[in-house]
Amino acid sequence: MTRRVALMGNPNVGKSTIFNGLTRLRQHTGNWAGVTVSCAVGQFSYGGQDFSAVDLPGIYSFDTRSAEEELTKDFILNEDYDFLLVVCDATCLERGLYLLSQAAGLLEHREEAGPMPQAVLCVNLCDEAEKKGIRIDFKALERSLGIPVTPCCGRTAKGLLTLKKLLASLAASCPCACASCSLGSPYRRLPSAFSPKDLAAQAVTYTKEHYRKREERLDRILTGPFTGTAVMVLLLLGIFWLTITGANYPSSMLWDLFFSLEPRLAEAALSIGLPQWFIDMAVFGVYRVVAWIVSVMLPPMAIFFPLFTLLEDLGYLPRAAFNMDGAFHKCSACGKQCLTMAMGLGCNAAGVVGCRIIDSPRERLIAILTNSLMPCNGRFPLLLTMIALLGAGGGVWAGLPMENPVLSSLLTALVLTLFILAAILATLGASFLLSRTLLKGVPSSFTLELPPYRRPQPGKVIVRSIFDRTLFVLGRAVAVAAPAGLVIWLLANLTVGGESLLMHIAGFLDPLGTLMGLDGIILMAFILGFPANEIVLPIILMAYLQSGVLAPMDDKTAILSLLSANGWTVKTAVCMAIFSLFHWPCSTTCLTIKKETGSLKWTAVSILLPTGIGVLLCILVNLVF
Amino acid sequence: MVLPLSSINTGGSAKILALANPPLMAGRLSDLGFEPEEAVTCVLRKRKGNIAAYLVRGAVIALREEDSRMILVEALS
Repeated sequence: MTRRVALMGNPNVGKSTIFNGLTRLRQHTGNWAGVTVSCAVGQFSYGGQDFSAVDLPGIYSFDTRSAEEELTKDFILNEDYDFLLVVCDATCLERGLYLLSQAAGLLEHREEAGPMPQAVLCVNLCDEAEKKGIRIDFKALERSLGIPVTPCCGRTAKGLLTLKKLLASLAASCPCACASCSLGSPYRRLPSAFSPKDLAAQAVTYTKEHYRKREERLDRILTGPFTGTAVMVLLLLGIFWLTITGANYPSSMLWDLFFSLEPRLAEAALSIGLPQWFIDMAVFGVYRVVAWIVSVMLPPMAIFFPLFTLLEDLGYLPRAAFNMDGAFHKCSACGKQCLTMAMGLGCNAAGVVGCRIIDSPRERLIAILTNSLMPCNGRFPLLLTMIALLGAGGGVWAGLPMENPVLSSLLTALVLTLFILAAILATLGASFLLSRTLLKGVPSSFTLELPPYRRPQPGKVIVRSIFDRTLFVLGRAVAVAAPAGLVIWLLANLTVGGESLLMHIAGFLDPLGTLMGLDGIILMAFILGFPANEIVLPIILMAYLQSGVLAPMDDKTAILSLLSANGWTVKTAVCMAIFSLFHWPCSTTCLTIKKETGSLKWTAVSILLPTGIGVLLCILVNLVF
Repeated sequence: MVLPLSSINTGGSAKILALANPPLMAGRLSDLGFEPEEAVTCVLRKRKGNIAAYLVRGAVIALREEDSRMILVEALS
């Protein structure tokens, strides 16, 4: 029979890391409180015993004050499970012991509800404690508590085997998994009553007096009045620069590969007797859009996500939130919004789900509604092309051709960083407006945990960010792009009154587009790009070429010259960049917002808010310049 | 002498005497270890901001000034 194991503990003690180690799954982990906001289930077996593990969101106590705490408490009290694995951080054992004693108190009242689970205390992050000179007497802990206590280090899988062995032997000692039998088990089901403070004082010894010295020094630099901001901007700049420089070469390689395959694909399809219209549609419609998106998106994402995950694992994000809190406070918003914005930089849908870490409903709603003001990864290629266009246009006019590749990519990164800073400002502004109008209220109290810095593990970071984030996001983009390619092909090839449907729609949107410094085709592309922002640029190019198929573009210069030929100026590029920063969230994000807020009204606000900002800014830029 | 926690400077330690925060926040704070008799140390303070971080029960927690002001402490030398 399968034994169920529930993993419970304070936030950021490494529950998900242990869960991943046990089940070989890849739950998202990171060094900040609140990475896991919903349950995950996975299987493993050891010594002939099958286990099913549940990874619960981290909680500070059972006096539920947030949705995740409610979820965890509900599970602990009402679900049927055999083992309660209480995970705690060796560097702050006392807090874990408080939670353990609360859990024991709760479970005692459960007695009639179902079989009593076996509590196990798992002391994680032992390597970190050792480095800080914190010694823990596990024997003393086990003696006082009466339940099994096992040291562990989830990151290196050291101790995970011991944990599995322990669970298997416990499971074997009670073959029936019944409520009361403790056949052969030397342990109590629940710990005997204890004082967390006294027990921690008894079991933990600090051998280094200033074990936090290095951390405090680093904190002072990362949050200093001048250095804090400088580090944040430089980190953004550095990440973008590495992403842009690193992505150039693989991008063009993928491009060449995909488009050299295209004619062969068409030939092969023809030789097996497929009709010409079908080949046009499948190869020049669907295949070409997918190839475009993969070659434009994959390389930057494969570089951006690992770099970002490194920062996340290091523990930098909460420090950035600490730095930015003053600004959010002035806007009556929560300082943790900085964390959800950072997640939005990867994917807005993920950012919206992440808003669960904010306790107060008012502030959480503000964070959800403003999240799509941060450009997600899918919008980066579009922004980068616009910046390249700005550079080319501006450079030609100023007589400064950008021939040095290092300099030009640095400049591109700089402009992108400025755009991100503009997005941050817009988020703050929108939060301010919301808390003065629709979501009136005073900022409610909040606490922000600053975790210890942890050395990231590059190997794991790369595997995790490439397979879990990059391929996931790319997969979604492709899944959307394939049918979108078909729709675009149809719109471009079905004609009414001598003009393609695409042109009819573009003509209809032209007045508004022109007012915004864009044109009808660009607006239409944004509307068709609702399922995925990645396809906006391909649609524009296809419409300009009026070829009915997406043009294969050899390199960026070809794109730029085509755009200039269609009346694009620096102003168009600026307006386009503004609108790609600020317009409606993609369909996935909208669905996520609907799910998280449970309200159509707020979903509508989340669409109208960024769209309004974008339209107004574009009109302003168009009229002023 | 009874002081608000917000008046403790970086590097200074204090013993908590009482929480005067609204119930919801008081509960949250005591979950984190801000409870009477507990010793806390201010480890980080934004010079111009209104946020500071405190070491309590081995973890570092940042609080806004309007919250830490309501935590009454006694300075430890």
